[in-house]
Amino acid sequence: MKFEISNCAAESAEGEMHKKSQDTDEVVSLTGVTFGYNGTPVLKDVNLTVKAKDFIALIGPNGAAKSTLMKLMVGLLLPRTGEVRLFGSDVRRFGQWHRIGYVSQNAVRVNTGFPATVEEVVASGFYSGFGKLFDTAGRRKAVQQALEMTGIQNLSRRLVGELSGGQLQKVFLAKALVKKPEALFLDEPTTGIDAASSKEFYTLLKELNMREGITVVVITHDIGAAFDRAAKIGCVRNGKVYIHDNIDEVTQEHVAEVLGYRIPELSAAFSTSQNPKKS
Amino acid sequence: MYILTFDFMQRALVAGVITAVLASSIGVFVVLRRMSLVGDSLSHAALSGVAAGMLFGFYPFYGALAFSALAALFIEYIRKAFERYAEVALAVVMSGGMGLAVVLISLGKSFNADLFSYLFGSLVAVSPSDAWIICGVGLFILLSLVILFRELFAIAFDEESARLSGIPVDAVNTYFTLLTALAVALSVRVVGTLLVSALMVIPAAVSLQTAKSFRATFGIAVGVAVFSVISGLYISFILNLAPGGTIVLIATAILMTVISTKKLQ
Ligand SMILES: Nc1ncnc2c1ncn2[C@@H]1O[C@H](COP(=O)(O)OP(=O)(O)O)[C@@H](O)[C@H]1O
Ligand SMILES: [Mg+2]
Repeated sequence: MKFEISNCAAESAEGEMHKKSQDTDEVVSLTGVTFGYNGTPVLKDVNLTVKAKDFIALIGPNGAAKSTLMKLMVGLLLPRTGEVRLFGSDVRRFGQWHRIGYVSQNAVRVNTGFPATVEEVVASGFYSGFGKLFDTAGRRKAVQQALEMTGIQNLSRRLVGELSGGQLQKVFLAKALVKKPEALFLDEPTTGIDAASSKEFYTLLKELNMREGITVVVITHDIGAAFDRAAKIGCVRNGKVYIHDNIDEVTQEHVAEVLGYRIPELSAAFSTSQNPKKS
Repeated sequence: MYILTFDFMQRALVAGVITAVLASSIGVFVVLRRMSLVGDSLSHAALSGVAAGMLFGFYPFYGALAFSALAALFIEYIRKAFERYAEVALAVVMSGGMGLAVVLISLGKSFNADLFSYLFGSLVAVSPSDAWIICGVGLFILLSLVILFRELFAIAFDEESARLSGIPVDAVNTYFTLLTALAVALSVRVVGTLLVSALMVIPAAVSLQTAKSFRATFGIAVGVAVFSVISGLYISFILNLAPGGTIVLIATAILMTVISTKKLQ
């Protein structure tokens, strides 16, 4: 428990954030959010803020309510008590959905064998409103750009059912990117994907974050790859969320404590992320 | 093509082709949303509407339309209560509809040739006014599908992210189930209540085996359905068979051929 107190940067920062809650550089803020599925809360009195251009990796053991937290952030779930604000407005009244992109945890599992090409799937993320059937020029351009950004132009005519896990994740990323969102929320995008593809994926996220200024919140178990590229780490455990603004303060011991087990390959990741090479 | 000189055959063909296009294009979405049984549920409800019409003396075809639309709304209502077990809603409506149909039929003691035509379809059953209803309502359904195509695709692919694109998912789902109900009721005249579902699911199954894009999925499903209906009507006329059964057998034969040639490759 020592680390929860000593490294709980988010809690102290919270007070200051509140005075300027209309500040536009706030992407998401949760204030006193409690949420449970059947009575017993899985998140208790959570306070956190995601600012524009943040790159936050959320970690935590299975069942820690990471996915729940993300669904609350994007308004797929509504809090029992407390408040969630997206770009300054209450999530219940939020309507600018093109500003956020979300890829759910089971996106890939659910859709194996769906009879659509990569291009068709990515295009389905471009929704400009009811009955707008013929915005084809704008859509085609946006699709093309999203495919380029994620480097999968060469896959555009392939059936999504024929792709590997790593390729599929890029398709989902492109589908989320096609509406040119300001923030991306990705739930375990690299679980079940080989190490090389996973690394490539996080590098891509880092590029989007640095070059396009897209805010990234990503839930991950790929601690090594994510730590190398994320700017902040969020730990979800026991119904609480702690954001570490300075990634260097998160040591292997902290991660082991949060996850409840040690990760052998992590020492390599730490030896690189402790270097001041991070920009 | 001398069979086209019969008025009833012309009507059966027009009604059949419209039915085929509707059932198969709706069927693609239905199958992708893992609601393959929805056609069965709704057609059993339609059958109870037919029975109610025969018992209380209104036109059974209207009964089919009304009852299956009500059943559609009921399915959406139960589905919300069993979010993780959507099939429960389908099973409840299917058995409920069948139970109601059986009770109404036994009350009216109306097990006659007319009922038989509603069960298995009939070539001579499509009256001129039936044909007009099928054309009118069919056009309405097709237009709705075209307008909602992008929404339906997005929802079928990933409901959560469709919600996050700002699509009114619940409203679209309810409307779609209502369209399905209307399409099922329309199909009842030509293929019969017991076989409607097959005309939705089998062409979709063929296209899932072969299509290389979503657009092709639609094209293939509609093509298979239209071919099955036209050839089925023709054969059932020549050999004096029930059209519904003949149509479904042809579609099934196509599916089996596709699956086995795919296995051979
Ligand atoms: N739809 C649901 N209904 C009931 N309980 C749920 C539901 N989704 C998740 N839970 C429960 O909430 C807790 C947190 O789940 P989740 O947010 O998926 O965790 P994580 O993503 O960190 O693995 C778990 O105990 C899980 O069993
Ligand atoms: Mg999860």
